[in-house]
Amino acid sequence: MMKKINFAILNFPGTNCERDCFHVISKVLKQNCKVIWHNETSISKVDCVVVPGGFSYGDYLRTGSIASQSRISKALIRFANQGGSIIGICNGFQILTELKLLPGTLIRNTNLKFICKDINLKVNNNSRFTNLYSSNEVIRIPIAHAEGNYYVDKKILKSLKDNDQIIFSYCSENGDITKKSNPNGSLLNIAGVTNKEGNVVGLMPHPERVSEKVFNNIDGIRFFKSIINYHNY
Amino acid sequence: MPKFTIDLNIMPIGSVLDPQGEAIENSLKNISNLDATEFKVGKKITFKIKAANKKKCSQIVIQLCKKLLVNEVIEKYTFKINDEKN
Repeated sequence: MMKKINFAILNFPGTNCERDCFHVISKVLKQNCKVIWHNETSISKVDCVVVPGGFSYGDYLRTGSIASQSRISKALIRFANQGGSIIGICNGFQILTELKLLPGTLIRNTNLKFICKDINLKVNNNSRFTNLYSSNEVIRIPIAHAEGNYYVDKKILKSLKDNDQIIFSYCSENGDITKKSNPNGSLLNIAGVTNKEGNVVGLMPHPERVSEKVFNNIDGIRFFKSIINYHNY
Repeated sequence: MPKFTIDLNIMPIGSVLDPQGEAIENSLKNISNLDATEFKVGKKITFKIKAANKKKCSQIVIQLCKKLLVNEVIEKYTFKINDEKN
């Protein structure tokens, strides 16, 4: 019997995926879950923080940049430094890069369009966030963003590869990493990365949107189950 | 304490994709035969700072750029400091 773990979801003005995440975590997976408003100053008795998608502060200045200066963000940095698990989805990923909790940044999609569609992802299962997927498994998850084009300098890109930090890559149905299967221009088809320590992950696709049978796709549920699994052992 | 006006210019660094610049360039091809190329679109931010002198002011601007205003993974910046009376 797995024990319940404690999730917290951060909520900034303009965040709009916090309810989806809350639903999956508390109703579908029956875990403890609370939502923390951006003005709060502490994250306590929490195993995993989710920074959800949306358009925090209207994407002003740069996506995620204003949220990265909020009061709760200071607590989030402390939480990360203590080894707590952090998941950033879409705008959450952008916020984590602005906080420098994850390397690189996310710039405009090469085709300049907001892209909302299902895409294929190749999973690197060597992380606390993906341990229930098989190695190089191809899953189908939706993306919905205008700024998902992952960019980082060559030196850090190499270190991401060397340290096995690339967790999700856009791919073809067969799992080939091709230019055609890259929706937004991301370097090396990167869709998600972890930090060097492996306790923080960011990804542009939305696993919380495909985590119930009613959606005819449950490829996303093992993403959340993986971290529950990790905190049980 | 003197008050300074800051003109901060932020531009994408050379190797970073600048889709706005590209879009402008492609759009101009349709309306002009002039050989205008290598458009880059950045942003300008103006603000005021109270500081003991220009050097202190400059240090504050750099601090603000590093903390929030500029993402040095993809952007570079230059700034001008003007005295309030100018």
